[in-house]
Formats: sequence, C-alpha cells, structure tokens
Amino acid sequence: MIARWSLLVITALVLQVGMAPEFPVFGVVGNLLLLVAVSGGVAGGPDRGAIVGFCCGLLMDLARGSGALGLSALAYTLVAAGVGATMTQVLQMRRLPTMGIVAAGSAVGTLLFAVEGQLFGERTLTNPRLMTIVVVAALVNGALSPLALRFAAWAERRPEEPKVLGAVDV
Amino acid sequence: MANRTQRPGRSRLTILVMVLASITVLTLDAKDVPVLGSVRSAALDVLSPVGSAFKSAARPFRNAWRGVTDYGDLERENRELRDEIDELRGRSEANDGVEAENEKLREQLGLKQELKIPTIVARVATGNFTSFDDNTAIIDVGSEGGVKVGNPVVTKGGLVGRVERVSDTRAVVRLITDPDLKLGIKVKSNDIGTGRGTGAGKPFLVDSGIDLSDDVAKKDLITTAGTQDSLMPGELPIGTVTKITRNQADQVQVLEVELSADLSRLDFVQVLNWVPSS
Repeated sequence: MIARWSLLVITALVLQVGMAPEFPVFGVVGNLLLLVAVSGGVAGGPDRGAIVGFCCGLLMDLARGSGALGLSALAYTLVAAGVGATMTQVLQMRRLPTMGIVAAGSAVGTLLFAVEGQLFGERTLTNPRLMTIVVVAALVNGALSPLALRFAAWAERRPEEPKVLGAVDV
Repeated sequence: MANRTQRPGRSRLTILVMVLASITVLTLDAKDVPVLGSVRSAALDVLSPVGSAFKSAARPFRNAWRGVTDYGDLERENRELRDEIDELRGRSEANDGVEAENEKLREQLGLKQELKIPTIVARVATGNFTSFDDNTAIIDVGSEGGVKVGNPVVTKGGLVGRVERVSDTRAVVRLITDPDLKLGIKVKSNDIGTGRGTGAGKPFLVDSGIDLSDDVAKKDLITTAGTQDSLMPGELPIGTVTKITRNQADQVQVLEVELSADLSRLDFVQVLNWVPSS
C-alpha cells in the first residue's frame, strides 16, 4: 500500500510541475497534489488523509521554491484529514456525492493555504485573484475526482481485497 | 471509501503527529535551518528540469489550449500589440534623428560609455507550479553558472526582478510585480523615490519620495536609483509613467508605471553579476 501511495503521489508531483503550469484554466494552475491529498482522505479516512496530505503538501512546498516551507503541508494535512473524518461520519447515513466533497475539500484547502500564507507574510489571502483561484481549483479537482478516486482506491487496496479499482462511488 | 472500522484514537494521534510535523517544518524554515535550505535547493535542482522537459514537449498542445481558454484575452492582446507597433514605428522614425545627434554630442563631449556590468544569460525554466506564485520565476542557471542571491535580473526591455534563492542549477527570481519588493527609483528630473509592484499584470507604483513640486510627466522613464545600500545598480529602466495622482495629504505624487519588460512573456533574461553592497 505504501508503494502504491508513493507512486501515486510522485506521479501527481511530476504532473504538477510538468503539466499543470502548461495548461492553466482561466489563468489558474490546477492543484493535482491537493487533489491526491483530498482523495486520500476520501479513500482512506482521516489518518490516511493526514499522512498523504502531509506528503503532498510538503512536496508542493519544495516544488514552489519560494515561500515558507510547510504551509501547504499543514493545509493539506488538515483538509485531507477533515475530508476523511467527514466521509467516515456521514457515510453511515447516506452515500455522498464524492465529486462535491472533493471540490469542497479543494476549495477549503486552497483557502486554508491562503490564510496560512498571509500569517507567514505572503500576500496570499489578499491576492486579488483569490476567489478565481479557489473556484477554479474546486471545479478542476471536482472534475478530475472520478479518476483521482479510482487511483486512490487502488492505492488504498489491501491484499485481502481482490478488487477495489472501479468500485468507487463517484 | 473511507474505512469505517478505524479507531478514532489512532486517527487523532496520526493527525496530531502530521500537524506537529508540519508546524515543525514551518518553524525550522522560519529559523533558516541550513539543512532545509539544502533540501529546498536539491528539490529545485531535481524538479525544475522535469518542468522544463514538459514545457518543451507540451508547447504545441499548450498553444492550442491557450487558444481555447484565453481566446478573448488573445484577441484583445493582438489589438493592443497592433496599436503598439504603429506607435513604435512613429517613435522609431523620430528617434533615428535624435540618436545620431546624441552620438555626435557624446563624441564631442568625450563622455565615457556607461559602466557595463557582466551578465549571465538564462532562460525561464518553467511556469509557476501554483497560482499563488505569480510574482516569482525559476531560471535555468544557478550557483554553478555564477548566479548569486541578490543579483538583478533584466531583459532588453528593462528590470525584471531580483534573485531570491539559488540552487546549483536553478535560481528563483522575485519579480518586480511583487508588492514586497520595494525599490529605489529615479525620475527624469533625478528626484528619488520608492516604488513597488502591485501584482502580476498590474502597474508598478511609486508612492513615496516624489514631492508635489518635483517635475514628472506622463511617459517619463523611471529607472532604478542606485543609491548607496540600494538593492539594484542605478539606471536600469523600470518603465514609463502612465498616470500621476497628486496626494495632497502626504504631499507626494503617486506614479503608476507601465513596466518596460513584458513579464507575462518572459523567456530569455540576463542576470547582472552585481550584488548590493550591504
């Protein structure tokens, strides 16, 4: 499971630094590492979400090359764990539209990063394009969530579970 | 989906550990612990070439993608560029005569050529990896190529920014659009003030130092001041004044400046081998 998650996170990192900047949506660069972090929370629950979120966030901080190291790590840890906890609690009541959950988680994660960034002296919360960034991040990640959740379910699969890939409710 | 059989206590502990790890990293980074600097430099060296490779490979697809998603912007930009070409043609013709006259005067007065600072040519390696980093750029030359923290970065148009972080093969440039990068500036009348960026795609703002009585007009060139302890050497073009607002309360003129360098299309840049004295 660790190997599969590692592969998924590294693939997301490569796509984030290679592909995402080349294909902005309305000038906003997609956030694939946040997508994987939130998907980790959805597929694996709060503790898996926290671990995957931390790794994804730390890699994002390292990739940025500027700004405080650990900002994304903290934001993604909290949001992925929060999404995982929400899924665990609410799943017992009813099936959730996971695309909406991933989109909402991505929006919250982006806002949380902006708040932290502002506290650490970056002008992230006062960025005039903040709302555009949040909305586009949510929409793009929501749209990509069916694919991301399939990969997250594959990474989360335990040896005794014969097939999880494709069994995600999206 | 989420495993419903997880023990809440264990989950809480894992989350707590991860949150504490994040806070620890933040704290160590704030204290400039050297090992984190090395890790960041190594990450820059490893990740940036990946971005560069994709950038080259994805160029045709990127152009098509931007044609679809930014069609309105491209159309407007095309119109503006046509207007600009017309204006520049007119100016060029007028300048031909002035340049020849200027050259003759220089010869007559025996003026020395301006002091040239050695430069290092670099290329913008990748686009920004997140949308919150539009005031930085990563270039493909680092300390191995002679780039140092604090070096000014320019294009033929004018000042672009300042090197903020350097790894072996890459450097992060803080662009002059960043509101936190305050620069000493000089107007045509040699009056000195300070200016700062106001974000990507927005004008540079000179909001202190230019008194109400100072002689400034629209289209005047703004350059770096190059005073003692300045972040930049003098006489680097920043841009031209597009709007002047008289602020009676502070007794200053606030200047909006259109940058000479086109930061939205950065490709090749020159790093000046110059560092601030302090």
